[in-house]
Amino acid sequence: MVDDISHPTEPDKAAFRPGPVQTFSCPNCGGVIGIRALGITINAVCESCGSIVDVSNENLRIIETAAVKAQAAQIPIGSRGTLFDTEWEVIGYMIRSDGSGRYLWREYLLFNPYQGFRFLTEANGHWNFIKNIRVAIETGGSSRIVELDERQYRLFEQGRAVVRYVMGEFYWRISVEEDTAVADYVAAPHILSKESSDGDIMWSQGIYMPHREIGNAFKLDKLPAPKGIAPNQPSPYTGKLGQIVNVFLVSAGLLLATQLFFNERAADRVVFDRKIQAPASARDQLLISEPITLTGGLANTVVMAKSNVSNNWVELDATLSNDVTDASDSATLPIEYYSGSDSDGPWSEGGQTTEVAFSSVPGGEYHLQVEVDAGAFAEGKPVDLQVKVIRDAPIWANFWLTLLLLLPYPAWALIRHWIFVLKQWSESNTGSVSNLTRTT
Amino acid sequence: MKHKLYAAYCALAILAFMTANYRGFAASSLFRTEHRQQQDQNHYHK
Repeated sequence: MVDDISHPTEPDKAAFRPGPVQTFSCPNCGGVIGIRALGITINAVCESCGSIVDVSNENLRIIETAAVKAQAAQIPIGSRGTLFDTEWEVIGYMIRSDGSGRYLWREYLLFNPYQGFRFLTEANGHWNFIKNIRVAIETGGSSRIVELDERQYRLFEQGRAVVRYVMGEFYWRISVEEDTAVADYVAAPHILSKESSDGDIMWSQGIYMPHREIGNAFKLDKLPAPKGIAPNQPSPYTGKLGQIVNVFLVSAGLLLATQLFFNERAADRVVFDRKIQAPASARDQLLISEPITLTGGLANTVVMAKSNVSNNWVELDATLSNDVTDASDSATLPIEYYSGSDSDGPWSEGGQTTEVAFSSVPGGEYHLQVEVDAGAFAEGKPVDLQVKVIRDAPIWANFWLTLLLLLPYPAWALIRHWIFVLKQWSESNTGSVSNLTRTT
Repeated sequence: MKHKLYAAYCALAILAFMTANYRGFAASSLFRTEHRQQQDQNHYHK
């Protein structure tokens, strides 16, 4: 796209030599008017008195006398700089503003005898390299989106553009206070601008330029740093975000593959499975299993409990003890299940099954000790229980925890990117808040 | 540069995940409730 803007035809990378500058005497003050694009320039501005002179014929008619005093351009007229492998000469400069006159921007007319004309625009230190294009772009209806070269541009702002100051030469008839309707559509770093005046519509296409590139091109040391965010300024986080998301996706894929590998190799062996009926008198009594043999080295061991409670609860305190070392690990397994119906229909909460995993349990002979308490015991009723012990079960908790550890940095990068885009679009005057969701 | 640091961090996290799985660690054990801690301690210090 950059090439499209800079090289509409076959690129000619040869720098052009300084051509002859044709001079005329200003019919108003007698000052010298220099013309660099001879034969193309229609209007030129006298550097001495600021009068706009029609230089397209020999009469040198004064079109407009200066209304404002001379203002210095950041890139002086006559400066040359190389952008996109082409050397451009600044031949014209103008200051434009919105209808209110509060928001000003500057436009530089660039000329290369082989490539024609381009513009550099600058507002708040943000620069764009712009080319006029001859295309018919459909903007009918309420659509805020236009499409060009398979790229969608979204309407960012629209209003009036008034010429406030001119200097140098121009290939069209220019006039201070000239007023045109403008609309800017953006697809960062690209911008598409529409200017309408007296039924004529002119489209131009531009690309955001870092101010340092402009400074380097025209050998200017002190271009002011940009302030705020330009409509088509690319998010500085976009590239980083892409890289970070790629790293995250690859890591998450690797993590999943590793999890599936461990799931596949897990023994997942039931080493204890008993159904018991705990009487009410069993409250606070220790129920001890027969010996349980856990084979292999370190592995997780899951204790699972099930009880068909309904609108009631059961709580088990399970302790797995090594018969030889006396090492033990304990956990509580609460089971509660409630259901019913109300004006919203049937409801239920809790479940009749619960499980707990013991970490890194060495192989050996074990006993499972269980203490049971239950809501039914208060009514003197027994509860039915099923207790299972599973050796080396596939466990997903490690996977989710690791994935959680991978997430904060991409999430932070995404948030920063979104803050940038939100700030950018808060400057839009099209009220297109809905555009925000479609911008990134 | 930052994405390279992040990639290194991810690699370490995956390595830790593999080690934890290999050694039978279950992350859910970090969050389980233990109502009778005193009794548990007795078990450990038997």
